[in-house]
Amino acid sequence: MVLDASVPAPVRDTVAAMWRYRERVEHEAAALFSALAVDLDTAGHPALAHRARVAAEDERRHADRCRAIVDACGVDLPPLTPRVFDLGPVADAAGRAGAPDPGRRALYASVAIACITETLSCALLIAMRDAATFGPTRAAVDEIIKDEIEHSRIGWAHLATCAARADVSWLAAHVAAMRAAALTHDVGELPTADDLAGYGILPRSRVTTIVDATWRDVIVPGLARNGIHLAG
Amino acid sequence: MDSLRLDKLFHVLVVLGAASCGEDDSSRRDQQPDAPVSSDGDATTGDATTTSPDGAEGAPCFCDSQACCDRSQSPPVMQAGFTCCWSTACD
Repeated sequence: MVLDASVPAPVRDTVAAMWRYRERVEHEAAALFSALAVDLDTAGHPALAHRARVAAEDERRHADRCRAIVDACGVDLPPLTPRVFDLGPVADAAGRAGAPDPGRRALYASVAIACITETLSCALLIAMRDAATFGPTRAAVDEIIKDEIEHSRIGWAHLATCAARADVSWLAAHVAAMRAAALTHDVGELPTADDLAGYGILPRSRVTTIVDATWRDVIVPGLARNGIHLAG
Repeated sequence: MDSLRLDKLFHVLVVLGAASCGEDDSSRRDQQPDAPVSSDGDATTGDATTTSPDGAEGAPCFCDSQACCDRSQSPPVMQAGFTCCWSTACD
């Protein structure tokens, strides 16, 4: 299915730009989950490591879905180069600078990628699905959200496992930075529009409302449930 | 239609995520989504065909709001005998 020829060029350009942006986000997420899988294996969590590897494969498939929508717009937009992110605390358990403890690095990444970013993604995708009418968009969102639910659960599973064994409150000091990174890279740069919800583009005001509410009602209580209490 | 229910999303992600510790991929992906919920919000064991907070006992569970909602009515209502998953709702 392609966009009808009657759709104005500015709309095509905006829709294509949005899904090319998401294509890059998916490739970046694939790399992050691949790295997380390695750290999870090193930290002695083989089942979670397997789930993270599957998640990386999911993200690459999602990127293909996004590219198909860009192509359906009939706009020539080559893929964006994925950015490289290095996650994790810079000091070890004793507070010494240097190579971070693999277990702590894995847990940091799980919380940052899965508990925070993927949870926000789930909420936004549900809202997108409500409004999407363009066939390829709706199909892509339906497929992506099924996987994003699992991706978020990987983080909550890992956090619950670690919280049951040890004090994970050290993560509280890093949550603000995780939130800032998610809002900057995955939400702040998300293309928005007031009248293109049918194509999976939400208004900025709606995005802000969903992000704030999800942070307040899902992420913060979820972290607190595992012993991570945020100040203020 | 706004189907985002953050209370359900909390359960689906945080509670069921914690309950999925140690499960392999085949047992955890939402082919049979949403474990039934106890009164304190924690997931209990069992599959989605037992009592759920949103539907009748034995109700099958669908993760696509299109399938669980009767949209011929205004406002849409949940299909008899079904539950909606993943923090979706028909209202």
